[in-house]
Amino acid sequence: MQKDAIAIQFEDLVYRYNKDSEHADVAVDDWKIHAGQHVFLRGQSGSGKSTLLNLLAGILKPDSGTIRILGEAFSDLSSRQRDAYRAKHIGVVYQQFNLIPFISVLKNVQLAAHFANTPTSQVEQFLNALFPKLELPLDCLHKKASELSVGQQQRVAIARALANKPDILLVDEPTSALDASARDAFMKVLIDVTNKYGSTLIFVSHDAHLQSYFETVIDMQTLNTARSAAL
Amino acid sequence: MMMSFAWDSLKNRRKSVLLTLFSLLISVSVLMSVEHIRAQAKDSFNRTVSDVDLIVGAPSGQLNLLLYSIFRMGSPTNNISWKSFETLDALEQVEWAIPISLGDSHRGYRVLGTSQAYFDHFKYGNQQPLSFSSGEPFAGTFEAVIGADVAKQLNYQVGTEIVIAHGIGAVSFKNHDYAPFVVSGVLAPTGTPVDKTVHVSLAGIEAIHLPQAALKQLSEANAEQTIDLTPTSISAVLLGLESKMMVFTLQRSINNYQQDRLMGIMPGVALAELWQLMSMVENILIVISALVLASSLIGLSVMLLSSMRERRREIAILRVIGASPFTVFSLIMTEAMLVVMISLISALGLLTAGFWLAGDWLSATYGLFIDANLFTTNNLIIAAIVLACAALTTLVPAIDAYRTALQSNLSSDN
Repeated sequence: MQKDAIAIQFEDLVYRYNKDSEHADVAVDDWKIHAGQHVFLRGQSGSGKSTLLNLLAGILKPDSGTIRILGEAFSDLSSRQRDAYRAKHIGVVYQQFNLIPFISVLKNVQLAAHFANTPTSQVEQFLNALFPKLELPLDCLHKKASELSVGQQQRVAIARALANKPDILLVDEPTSALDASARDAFMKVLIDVTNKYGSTLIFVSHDAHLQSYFETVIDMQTLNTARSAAL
Repeated sequence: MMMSFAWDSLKNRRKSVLLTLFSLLISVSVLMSVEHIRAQAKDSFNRTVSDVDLIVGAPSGQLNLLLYSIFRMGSPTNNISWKSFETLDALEQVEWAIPISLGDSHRGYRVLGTSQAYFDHFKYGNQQPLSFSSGEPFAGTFEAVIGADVAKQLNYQVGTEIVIAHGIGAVSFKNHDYAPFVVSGVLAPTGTPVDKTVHVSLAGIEAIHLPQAALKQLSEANAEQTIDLTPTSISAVLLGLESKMMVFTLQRSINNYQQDRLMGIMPGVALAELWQLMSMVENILIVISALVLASSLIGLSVMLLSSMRERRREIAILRVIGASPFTVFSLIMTEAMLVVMISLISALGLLTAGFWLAGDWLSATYGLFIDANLFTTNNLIIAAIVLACAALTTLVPAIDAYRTALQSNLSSDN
């Protein structure tokens, strides 16, 4: 993947929760993210960052404007196509509740591979190679996801995303459930593996301490013109 | 993959799933066994008698006559005279006549006094004649032919000596000790009440009712000529006619016979009346079991619906990794279908085992011969209907899941 290629492009995007309202909840006029770029998106709760993530993941559809991913007008696809596209190209890691608790870690990753149409048989081999890099013990592969700590679950979520070789990794407030040392370890691992796999990373947090890990820092308040107009 | 996930998801909620499964298992079993017993009982009753054109006995109800003469249930209210039998037998329309004399028993099995004509002309099922698995028909007064079940249950074979008691209780204090009978033949299994009957000659029946002194004299001397053993009366007569066309005429003349009070019935008509009587009970049973099934299916739907709250997160995760709302919808459907399939298969297994184990008891107690094979067309139709109804009721939670999936967002707090 070339470093200069545009991974994500927003064009005159507007989204409203209340479709009858004149007032937009999220509006992004023009925003480009290069392939392989690591972006820190900072914002307080209510700044529209969750909505932005939902739009990026294709779960919400913009009311007007377009999101292009790798040149394709992603937001114009049908909801089914967006689901399939998300499975294959976009990985998501949350603060917690990343994994389905009652099935094994391996099955969790296999399930994601199933939706992305990648062969599930190769998943175990891939995880065996990846887990040491994520500082995850190999024996947790066959444990139920609920038996893992929150930090471990998040790292499994990263592994799950990477198993499908995603173009974009969306990470939403991943560190708020972790203590300081676990947080630093997590950040180091995250940056290392995304560099290694060349994924575009969009990292959302209200914690300004973490921005030192990133080359690009964007404030939600400057990005979301709907908010600044309202204020 | 989704199948195995649905399975894991059910295992995760095994308590409520198991309870739902049990309730479905019970209702499906009830429905299937009602249907199976109904079909089998009808079949078993209809195959009990074949080729008999008229049954003649003392006037009572036609069901009563049918029940005691063919099914060995209940007792004859009155007898008909031996003379009437001779008259009937001599009629030119009559091809054969089988006399039947009831009222005695051997260790709970009914004893039937009859003649050689019984073994020559009695037919069951699809016009099958009786056949011997060993031995031959009785020749002497103190010989008996036993049905297959009697031989099996009491472990009798040709040559075994048996004692016949007066009355029809399983335990009788009035055993006719002086008149031991010898088994001369064992009949092959028929799946009809014949299997549970001890057959002796009419003379044998007369002999056991002689005063003790006379009986003693009879058995010691073994001189049957000294005492006349021709019966004075019998319970019923089974008639086979030369031509079926004559049935109605003969029936009318039997009912108007002046010398004795007689009643002639057609077995087919009496069986139809019996089934008419049963069909109401049948319908009630089927309606009740259908209602039980409906409530279990609603239970299944409620179980899935109430799990939806705790599954919001699970659905959100599935959406994030690329599952479409339709995938979530089919996941719920798959789970419901798995539960229903398991309950159907275990109901079939349970009932097969149940009928196999209870088969002897049912035939001994109620004269019902139930086939343990439940894989009949009717039951497969029931299974299909149950699956279709389950799919219909599961639409409610599945659509709920679909909606949840549509609205689920990637936010940290859900």
